[in-house]
Amino acid sequence: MWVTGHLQQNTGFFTQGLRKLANHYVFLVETAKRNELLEKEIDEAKQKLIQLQEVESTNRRWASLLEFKNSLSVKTVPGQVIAHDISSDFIGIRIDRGRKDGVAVGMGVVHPAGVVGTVYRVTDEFADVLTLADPASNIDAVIQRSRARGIISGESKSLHCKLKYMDRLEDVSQDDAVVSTSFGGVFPSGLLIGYVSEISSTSNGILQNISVKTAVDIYRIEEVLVVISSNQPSKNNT
Amino acid sequence: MLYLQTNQAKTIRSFNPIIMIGLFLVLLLVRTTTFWIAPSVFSNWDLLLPFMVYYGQRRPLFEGLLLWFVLAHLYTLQSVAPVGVFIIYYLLIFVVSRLISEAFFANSGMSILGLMTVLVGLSRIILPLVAGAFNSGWGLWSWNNLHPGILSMNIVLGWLCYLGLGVIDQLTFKGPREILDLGEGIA
Repeated sequence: MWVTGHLQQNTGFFTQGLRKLANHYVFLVETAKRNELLEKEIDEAKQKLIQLQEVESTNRRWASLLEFKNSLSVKTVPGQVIAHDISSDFIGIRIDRGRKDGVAVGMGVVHPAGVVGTVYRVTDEFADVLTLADPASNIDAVIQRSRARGIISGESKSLHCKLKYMDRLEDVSQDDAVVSTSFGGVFPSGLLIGYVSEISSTSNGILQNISVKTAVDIYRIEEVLVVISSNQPSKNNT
Repeated sequence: MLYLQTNQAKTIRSFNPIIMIGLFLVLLLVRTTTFWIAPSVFSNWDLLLPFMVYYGQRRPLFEGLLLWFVLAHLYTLQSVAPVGVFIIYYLLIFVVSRLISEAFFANSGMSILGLMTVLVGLSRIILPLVAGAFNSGWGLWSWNNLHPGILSMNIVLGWLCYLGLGVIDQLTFKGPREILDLGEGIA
């Protein structure tokens, strides 16, 4: 018994060693397979996380848009940007709202960050928006601080706008906020358009050359609100 | 090499304009809807330019004008540019390309690259002039119009597109217009 006991003890040590060897080296194939499976699961989890983050981001944007919509005193229709202008020389966007939603040519389009532009062309289901950054766009605006009035117009291939027809005697400073007016009933008054980024004037000119950095990044917005005029009630003012 | 009977080749050839318009529609959708993911430099790609240069060089006048009208109209509907700007702009590109083809027919890789370089350069002068005529408020002589990066990108993409259109013509048994003018098929 003494002999066999010691032998069994050592054999046990030996078999334990063998088992460890098998687990760590021989059966490593199983571990590798399990590892691959876990890696796959991690990838899937990461993918799901990204999708959830995207959903969260979309929810946050829509919540912000809803909050903004409720803060406005005019009727609006929310819309999603579905395409951009095919030419980089003209700055327009297409939204998924049209005539059947109460949208009409000339209506204002806004975003929580500020003014976007006006409706340029409309079909039953879609509308093209001429953004304020397009050279053909003309939007009535005032300097919020001094109430000096001018017209905001785009510049080609740039997200900076010009504030036109501003007399050289008017009080305008760098970083002044430029806001919309209610002139024509296109936009609610006081919506942010942008900030004065550059001011210059020629010695013999009567006007100032004012450059305005738009508050809205036209190339990044995904949702907008179309301002429905009071005399054109929206059918779908959700 | 696939050998087909004359009428089979003719049938396939008749689909060529439809395939061309279909390809343009696909590129149009890609161009206008991928702004979220595509690098912003691609927003400066003049998508229809290589098509017009190609038709000016290789299509009979009537067919070229028909394709110009359809595609330029489709293009116009995707932009807030004043109606007529792109119709006239692309007509001028088509005409210039056709006039060039009378003296210089781009057939090899290098000659196509040269042709695209000339037309892309000219297009950046023609478009502001046409847009200016429509009172679009465009800066006519802005250096932004002639940005070297934008020119280079349009030359390279235009060249690739031109070669791609050539492949479609080969696959649909469509020959250059000189051969068609002589009444010879290439089936």
